[in-house]
Amino acid sequence: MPYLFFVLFALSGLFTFAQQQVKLTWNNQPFELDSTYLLHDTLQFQLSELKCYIQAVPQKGNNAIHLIDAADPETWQWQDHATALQVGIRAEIQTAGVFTGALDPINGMYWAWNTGFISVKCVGEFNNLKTGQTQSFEFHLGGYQAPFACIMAIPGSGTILNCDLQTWFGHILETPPLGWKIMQPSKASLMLFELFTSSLSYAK
Amino acid sequence: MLNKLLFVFLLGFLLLSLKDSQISLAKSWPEPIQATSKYASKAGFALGRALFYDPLLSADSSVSCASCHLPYTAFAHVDHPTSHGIADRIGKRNAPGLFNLAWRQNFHWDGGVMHLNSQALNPLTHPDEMGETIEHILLKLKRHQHYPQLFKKVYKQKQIETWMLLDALQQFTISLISKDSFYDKVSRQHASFSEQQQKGFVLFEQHCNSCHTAPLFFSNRFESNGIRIDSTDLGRFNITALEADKGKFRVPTLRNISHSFPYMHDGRYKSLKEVMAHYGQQLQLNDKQQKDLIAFLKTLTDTTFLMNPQFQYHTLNQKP
Repeated sequence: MPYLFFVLFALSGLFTFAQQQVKLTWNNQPFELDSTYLLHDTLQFQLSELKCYIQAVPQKGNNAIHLIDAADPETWQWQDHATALQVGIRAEIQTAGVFTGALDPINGMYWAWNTGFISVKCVGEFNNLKTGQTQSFEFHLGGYQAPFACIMAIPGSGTILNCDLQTWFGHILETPPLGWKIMQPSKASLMLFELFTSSLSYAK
Repeated sequence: MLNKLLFVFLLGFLLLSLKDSQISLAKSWPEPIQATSKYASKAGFALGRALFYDPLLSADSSVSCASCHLPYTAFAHVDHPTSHGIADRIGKRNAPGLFNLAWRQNFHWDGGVMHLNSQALNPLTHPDEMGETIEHILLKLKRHQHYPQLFKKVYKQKQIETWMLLDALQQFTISLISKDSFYDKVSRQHASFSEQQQKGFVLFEQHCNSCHTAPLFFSNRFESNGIRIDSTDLGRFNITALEADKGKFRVPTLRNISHSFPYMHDGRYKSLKEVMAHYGQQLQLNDKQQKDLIAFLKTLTDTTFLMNPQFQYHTLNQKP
């Protein structure tokens, strides 16, 4: 009988799901699409679309892939047994054809021209308040093939993942110009993706 | 009497051997690469065919898949060098013939798409082709008088989803198999080449077969064939970003080549004569040799396939 309890206890570990959450922020304040945010006192940012794929690592059971959509708060939290995460979807899944759910091409994250998924999609514009100039941008950062694969583990683990967009755009502006329309796997795409991943951290 | 019986027996044996060799020739085709749908059925094929011919799938309901892939031209597009989409928009690449797709490792001239069941996403959503969103296509299908029933019959569920649309299209396109050309009849020893065709065949084996390999007459490779490359379309390089892939495009099939003009990834050559003039320079083939090769290439035309009523337009209520 004690063995049975032990076995049940051990098995229960496999089926334990934790509530997990992504917090989208701009300078530690809740972030909303289509709102304006200031950076360096002179640049006014506005995002119209922000989506990214988060996948649990290591993958157990079903593949635990979550599509985070800034427009849909229901996607900002989920149940999963793994607390270590990666941005992007592992290559074996990207090359296995058409899926449903989070991976349904209807979500606009599956490339029609090049097999594979966009890991992070971000569309918006910023105004330079000093010069009055407006710059639109569109980033489709993804793909699974070396050397530009956009799949990366988020260091550490936890149940609350902070995604600070001010940090991301601050880093982008500090790097040499990469271009504002980046929509296919490339060196610039990978660099933006790495900057995005480095702007993610688990809440302590 | 015994002699007659022996003769009949030997004749029977000979015919059976011949039949066996035909079967083995048919089996000499490699194993298909693309997987068949697990929902493959007559109803699924009919649904895929209905969708393929339905302009409802485009943004303004003006063009269907068949607008650029006509059955009589081996499911290629012969009106323009490159594809013709909604609002008279012209794409940048030649619409290739659609057949024997199960043996393709990847799709499009740059091989960017790896699965037949996801291939249709590009033409459906490309702004210069059908310019529609998947979301809106599904909405139109759900509101349609007939499609909900047809989908339910194949997929046993009420809701129409993206994968079902793509699966149905794949059920139709994967069934487009062309293997009954004059060349195939010669292979089966049901016909023989003329002297000119035979000479062309010998030249073909010497110069062309390494890339356009029989019996499929294509290979799943990307090659540069010496044509001038437009810097706005670098082909395979767009997918791999490898310098070595700059200007390389997939090796197309030569089956039904006489019916799938124009030629090359951008449709720059209108006739086989122009194609041969290009290769003639590269391979140092004289006029007569070029004509012989064209005569052989014409033996790859499969009129059984081109005229197959199963692959042509049917109304939604017409039986498969």
